[in-house]
Amino acid sequence: MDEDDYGSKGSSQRSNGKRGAPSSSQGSGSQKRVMRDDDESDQDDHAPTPIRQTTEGFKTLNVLPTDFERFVKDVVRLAIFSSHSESATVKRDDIKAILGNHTKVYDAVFVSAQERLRNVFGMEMAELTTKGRSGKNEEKGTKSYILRSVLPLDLLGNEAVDWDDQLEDQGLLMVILSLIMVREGVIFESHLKQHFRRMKLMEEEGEIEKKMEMFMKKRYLEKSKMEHMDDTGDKLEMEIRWGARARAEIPEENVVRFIQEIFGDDAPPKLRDIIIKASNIQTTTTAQGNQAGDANGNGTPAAPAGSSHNAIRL
Amino acid sequence: MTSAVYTDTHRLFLQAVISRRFMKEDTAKQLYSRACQATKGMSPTEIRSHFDKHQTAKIVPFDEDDFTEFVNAVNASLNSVELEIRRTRDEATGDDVLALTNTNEQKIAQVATGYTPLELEYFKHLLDAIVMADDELYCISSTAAVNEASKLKNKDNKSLQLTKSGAEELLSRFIQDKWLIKSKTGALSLSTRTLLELQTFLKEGYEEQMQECTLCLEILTKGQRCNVAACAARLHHHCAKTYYENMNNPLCPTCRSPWDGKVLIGLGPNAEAPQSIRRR
Repeated sequence: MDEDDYGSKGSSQRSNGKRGAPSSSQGSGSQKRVMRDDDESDQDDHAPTPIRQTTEGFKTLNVLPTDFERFVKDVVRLAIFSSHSESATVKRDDIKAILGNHTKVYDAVFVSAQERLRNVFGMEMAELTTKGRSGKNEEKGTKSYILRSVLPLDLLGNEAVDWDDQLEDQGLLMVILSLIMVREGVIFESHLKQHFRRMKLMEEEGEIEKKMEMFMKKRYLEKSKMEHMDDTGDKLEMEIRWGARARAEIPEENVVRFIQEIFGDDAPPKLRDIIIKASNIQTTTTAQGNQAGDANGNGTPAAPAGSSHNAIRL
Repeated sequence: MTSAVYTDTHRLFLQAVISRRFMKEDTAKQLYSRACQATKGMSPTEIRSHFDKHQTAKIVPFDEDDFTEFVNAVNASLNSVELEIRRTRDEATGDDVLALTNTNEQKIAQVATGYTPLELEYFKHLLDAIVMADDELYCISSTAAVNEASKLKNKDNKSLQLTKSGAEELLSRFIQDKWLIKSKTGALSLSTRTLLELQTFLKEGYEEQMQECTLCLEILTKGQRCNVAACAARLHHHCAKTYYENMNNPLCPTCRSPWDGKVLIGLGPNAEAPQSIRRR
């Protein structure tokens, strides 16, 4: 939307102070001297002319439109290419690094980048959260984001294209997430393994552990030492929960529908209600637009709504 | 020319492209048709029964022009973030491949994500050695590459910490991530991905050494050259094949002398790479 004003594409010039209207009559000398903006950060190597009048939205930001555009582009590319790294996260610090000394425009850049991501890719950055353990559903923000799709498609259509060569893993993950969800968010590792045995999944030696480790590395699952002893009283149990990435990427709605699909035609009446009750999850009507990153970039990462159903929050 | 509308089909396709980043054109076309399907609003059951029945994704017939126009529309949108989907042909196989690339890659670091500065430094050394190889071979032996690791020096001229085994591991990562190719004889050369994604870097940094195919004008590190030493004509294998397909008497496109395609650019199929590395 603001792109008409931005002339040059091409290499960033934010490191030298010579861009912008060179109307400084005193010649260059020290760039800081002629600063008319009461800018706290003395490191800014701005051109000496005040930038306030350039463009409407940038009145108080002290950043040239071309630079702002550069930042937005670089943040978008950072997000896109981060999805290839192991952790697939975008750290807030990395974004700040792009801004160099202009950290004041972080929020504005973030919002623009999100918009660009949605327009071009149908994706957005969602903050990964750590879930409070004390039984309350508080979520604390970590300072990192993952990229997730916000296209309004149902389960099969969307992921089939994306996960292509990993359909098996995705299916397995959905099974695990469902098992966890209908137990109100937590399952013992031993119980999970029992389920696998009953379903005759991953009977090979060590296969379960490998897959679980992979999911944990990708942050789809979390393991933790449990807070209570198990039945026999002496073995220490591990608890498995949804990981931060699952919370951000996979709306519970999808899991509910996954379960329904498995039942298929054999579904008991009101299966959906049964699932929701067992999972003890809330249904909230949240419009899709509200959640994604508010100005602080701290937007509560409610999962995007499925097509016509209400969004469900864990 | 009607301006293309940009829809969720485009976005879905793009998301699939992002996760793969580099693929054969055939794969891309499949993704295109599946993206069309997915966004046609088919219910899960309908899509599933289609998959079951046909065992294939090519249900929606489409034609070449549609696909090209589709990719153009995606690129028009990608332009706003200085990315684009580029198309080229694999030098070894002649396959058409697509890759998502930066349009202004000035630094390797921007392109090859997931490597530390030290690793990138090593990569740059290898690139340099490969491009500078004698006789337009555009390759080095893996042994030489590993030995090269010990010669890495940082700005203060102190040795950098890359052991031989570290270098070997790193090499296999480069190969796995498709930046380098290793031949049966252990020769390392530039992959199609590197040629595509680091084009600007290579062309600008190695103006003299990088050559173009006389016919298609794209970068060339594997192919054939004119028998006449002074003639600059160079051709990709696949370009030569098409060009000389119906010619009884193959002649060089530049100097018209007989062309037998036996003088090679890059390493011959079973030859071994040179053991020494020339430095700039």
